[in-house]
Amino acid sequence: MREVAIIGVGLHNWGELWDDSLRDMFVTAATNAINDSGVDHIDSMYIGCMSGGLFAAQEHLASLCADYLGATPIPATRVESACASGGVAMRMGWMEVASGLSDIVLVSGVEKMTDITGDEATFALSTAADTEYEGYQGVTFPGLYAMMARAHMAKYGTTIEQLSQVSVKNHANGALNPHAQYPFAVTLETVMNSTPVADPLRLLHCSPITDGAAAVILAPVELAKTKYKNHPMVVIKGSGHATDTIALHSRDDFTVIKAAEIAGKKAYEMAGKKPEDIDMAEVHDCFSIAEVMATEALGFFEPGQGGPAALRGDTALDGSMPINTSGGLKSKGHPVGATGVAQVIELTSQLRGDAGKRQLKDPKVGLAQNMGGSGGSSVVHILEKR
Amino acid sequence: MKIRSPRYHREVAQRYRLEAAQTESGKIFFPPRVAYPGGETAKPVVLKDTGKVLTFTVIHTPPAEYSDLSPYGLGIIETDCGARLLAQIVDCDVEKIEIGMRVKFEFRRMRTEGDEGLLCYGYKVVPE
Repeated sequence: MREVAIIGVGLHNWGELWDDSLRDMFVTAATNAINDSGVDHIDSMYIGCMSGGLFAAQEHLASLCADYLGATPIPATRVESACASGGVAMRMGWMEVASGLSDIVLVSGVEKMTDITGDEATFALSTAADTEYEGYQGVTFPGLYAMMARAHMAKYGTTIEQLSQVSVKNHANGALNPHAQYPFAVTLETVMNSTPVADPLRLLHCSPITDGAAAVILAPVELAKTKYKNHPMVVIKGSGHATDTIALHSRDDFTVIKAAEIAGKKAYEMAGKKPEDIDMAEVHDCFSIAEVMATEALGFFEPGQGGPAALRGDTALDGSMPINTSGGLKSKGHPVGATGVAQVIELTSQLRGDAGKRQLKDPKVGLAQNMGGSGGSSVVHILEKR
Repeated sequence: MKIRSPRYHREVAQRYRLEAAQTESGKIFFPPRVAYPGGETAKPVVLKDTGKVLTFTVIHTPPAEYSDLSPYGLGIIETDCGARLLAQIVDCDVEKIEIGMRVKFEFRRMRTEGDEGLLCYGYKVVPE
């Protein structure tokens, strides 16, 4: 297998964007990534998208995106794994370059979520759970994560204050990110008194509905060294991917995200790294409890210690293990198919030293963890500055 | 939303009668599957209709088809035969739901589906 470098990154602004279509957002992000990398062509492309059909009445994104980018007839593949679609697209692109099948591969993620009503968006998202045995009972995604939060609280004594601090921290980081959908700080009191959604979770424990797109350009390290030298080189050192049951109720333990744990182990093993070698991580905080459980599954904290660590400030920008320097899904926004790609862009920006006001001091290794549904799929990538 | 009666029809045995399957090693699968892990075979069983709450939530922002029930309790129930499934917890004060609470399954109307208003039934749990 060849080593793979990330040679270009590009975003389309995120938010509630009534003037921007799915195809236009994709093309803007892709063009920005192409320009950032300096490539004059691409050999192949992947598009992570959860539900072009339900959100935007558009399938066949392979053809649409290649067409509007002016890239036909190159091969293009749309990848779906619910909210992990972007992360899985990253893995597919990495595999294609690592295998030697292609040299220059565009990996993108896109989701257009605000063309439909809130009820319709809730339904579209709910199809990431078991439609017949979870959705039918009237559960929502906040409801599924609320049940994990309740189980975590009962087993470990995790508190609502600890979960709320995750949101406070992510909004503080997002306030420093010009691309964030909600770039403002919130207080612990505001989070704890926000509208109840699914007990014990409130509105400000939940990530928002977002339109957005993200893209990166991959190339083999050997080629990047000689030809694409615009930026300090960032290399994909490890990739891990795992699945779990689609229904939360089918699992033995509701307090651990096993797919994230296994994907993490595989990525650590491939990269030759341990949790203590990681300088920063972007994790899938679709709900504040998800960040706590992800930081435990990835080995940054012992099971049950993710909440106390968040409250102590260990995961803050100036903490011992910065988590979601971008603002996370909570503040930066969560266009589901784009999230996994945007996590990799944040790590790349930090490793290059391009992260502006939220720049960490000389990070060397970063980890991105993306997750589908209630943890039915998860992907982890480990990036290193060369 | 269009009517989807074949899709509804396929789930009737599970939803109305709690029909499940038990493998040779004793694990219960609800609903029954086409294939089982490890290549085991399974025989049909009916779930015990009593159990306890393993974890729960109270939904304040419901999906559209359940908007008239909000707020309602939802929990993961472990039946007394060891199967786990998700069900609404009804006929009780949502403030009184707790982990470990004993419950009993009942046949209930769930929602209507499609422009034609197909009546949909299934299981919910009530305090035992």
